[in-house]
Amino acid sequence: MAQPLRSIADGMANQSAQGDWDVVYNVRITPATTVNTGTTSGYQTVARWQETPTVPTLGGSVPYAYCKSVRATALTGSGGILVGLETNGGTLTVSGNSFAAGTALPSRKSSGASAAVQLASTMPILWSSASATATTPVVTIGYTNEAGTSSRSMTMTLPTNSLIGSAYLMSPHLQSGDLGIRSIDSMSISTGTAGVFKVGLLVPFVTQLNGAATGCSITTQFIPVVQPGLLAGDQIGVYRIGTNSSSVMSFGLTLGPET
Amino acid sequence: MTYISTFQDIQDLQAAGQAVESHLQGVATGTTTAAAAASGYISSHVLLNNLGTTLASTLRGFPMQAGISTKRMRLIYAQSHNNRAITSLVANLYLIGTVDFTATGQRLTHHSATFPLLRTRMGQASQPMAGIPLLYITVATATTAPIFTIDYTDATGASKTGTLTTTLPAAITTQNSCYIPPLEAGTTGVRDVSAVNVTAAATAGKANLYLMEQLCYTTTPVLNMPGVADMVYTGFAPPRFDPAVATSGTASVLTAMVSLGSTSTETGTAYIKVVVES
Repeated sequence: MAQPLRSIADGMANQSAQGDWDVVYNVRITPATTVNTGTTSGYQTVARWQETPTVPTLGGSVPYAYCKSVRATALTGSGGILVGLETNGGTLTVSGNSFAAGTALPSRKSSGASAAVQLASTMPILWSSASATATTPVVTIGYTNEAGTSSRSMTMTLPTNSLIGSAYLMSPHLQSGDLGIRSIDSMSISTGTAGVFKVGLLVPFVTQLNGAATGCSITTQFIPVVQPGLLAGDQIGVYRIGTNSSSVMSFGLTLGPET
Repeated sequence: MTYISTFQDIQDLQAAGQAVESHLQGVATGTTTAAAAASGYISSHVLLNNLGTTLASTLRGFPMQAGISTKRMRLIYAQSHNNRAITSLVANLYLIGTVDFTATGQRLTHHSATFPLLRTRMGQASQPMAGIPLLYITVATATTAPIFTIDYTDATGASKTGTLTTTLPAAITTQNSCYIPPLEAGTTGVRDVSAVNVTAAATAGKANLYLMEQLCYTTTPVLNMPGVADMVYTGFAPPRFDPAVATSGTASVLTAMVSLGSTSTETGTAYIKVVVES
């Protein structure tokens, strides 16, 4: 089996024979989000990009796609960009305090591996898909951890009235000893009248920091970060870390085939 | 016990969630006082996470989940950027103790944990670890530039009575300034510091004295450009990340960025990825 991320020759041969896939968002304006000011909601200000690239249909001889490179340019706000395979773990609707289960992370083969493994998210993110009306709400999340142990629990106290796109890193608040999450079992909120929160179970394959409001480019083949195999319909989550500012942003992603 | 031995191990452990990743958004350090020859030559800063840090009383390094420090971990990848062109590194900073510069005499109050710190090394369990002392000014000095020597146990276990003096660079040496005190000739590192003997006192001034364990360098040669440290594809030498353990008691450890070479206000971001062997 050709292993594009462990062999430059394999990668080039696969791309030449099968073609690769580029997604380019020319210019999209990210909305301003809520500044994170506390230590109970991820320790960072994070904004979710409103676009979610979807992996296209793969040819019959291409069992998996892999991220080959990412390019991003934001005109406002410094910090970093975080990109990964994202599964919606669950949805919390503030009005009525109702939870809708999402999808557990699947088993996937990472590039070069001989067998699939059960994925777990080491960068789960709670994000607002509709602006909230809630004063310093406490969100309680039940989950199954990276080892498959269920009935794990964590809480986060969020800033008041999270704007749409506001995102909060969950990892620092996992139950003691846990490294990540396979699935979300429950979500509830202590107070609030409006808004929707979702958990993005992110398996990051790119993190790129940038000190100024300019672009970044990274070729993922040469970083030792996991490259999970991607299938048609998979969604790619994109987050900006360290900024809440509205910005013009362009984004590009290249997927390569494994054969 | 699981050991990393291949590139594929690195991938598989991450895929299965046997990994930790953390982002640090730095708090501005403020302008600090430049080091001089008598204070170790090297000006440095500790770069801390903005949320959770109140300089210089409450210090927060890389935010990470609780209860994982006993796992055996290896640092595989790090990035940082800085608004200054500097050398920076990821480090475990173990608190040796606090120093009060307002009187002469032995002024180190040692942390409750007993040093040396221990790691398994070269097939031998519980071997003493040596590091580099780093002095972090938590309260600015006043009136007089403090002068001191340090007594320590060196990397070989020998006790050393300090003869080299450190003179802080100014009567008002500002908060958040960091210095690496000179060590005796031939010393490659220290296991512990037993005394800080102040011979010229200030009317104000306190410091934390850390034992610095350097993990990797992420130099930023051009301001605002990211510096990268890849410990896998550039030699496959990911260092141990989990903190060493104290001989007795529990060591206080701060995992943060340390920058070398600037005294201007600094801020920046950093990212680390760690895999868990077991």
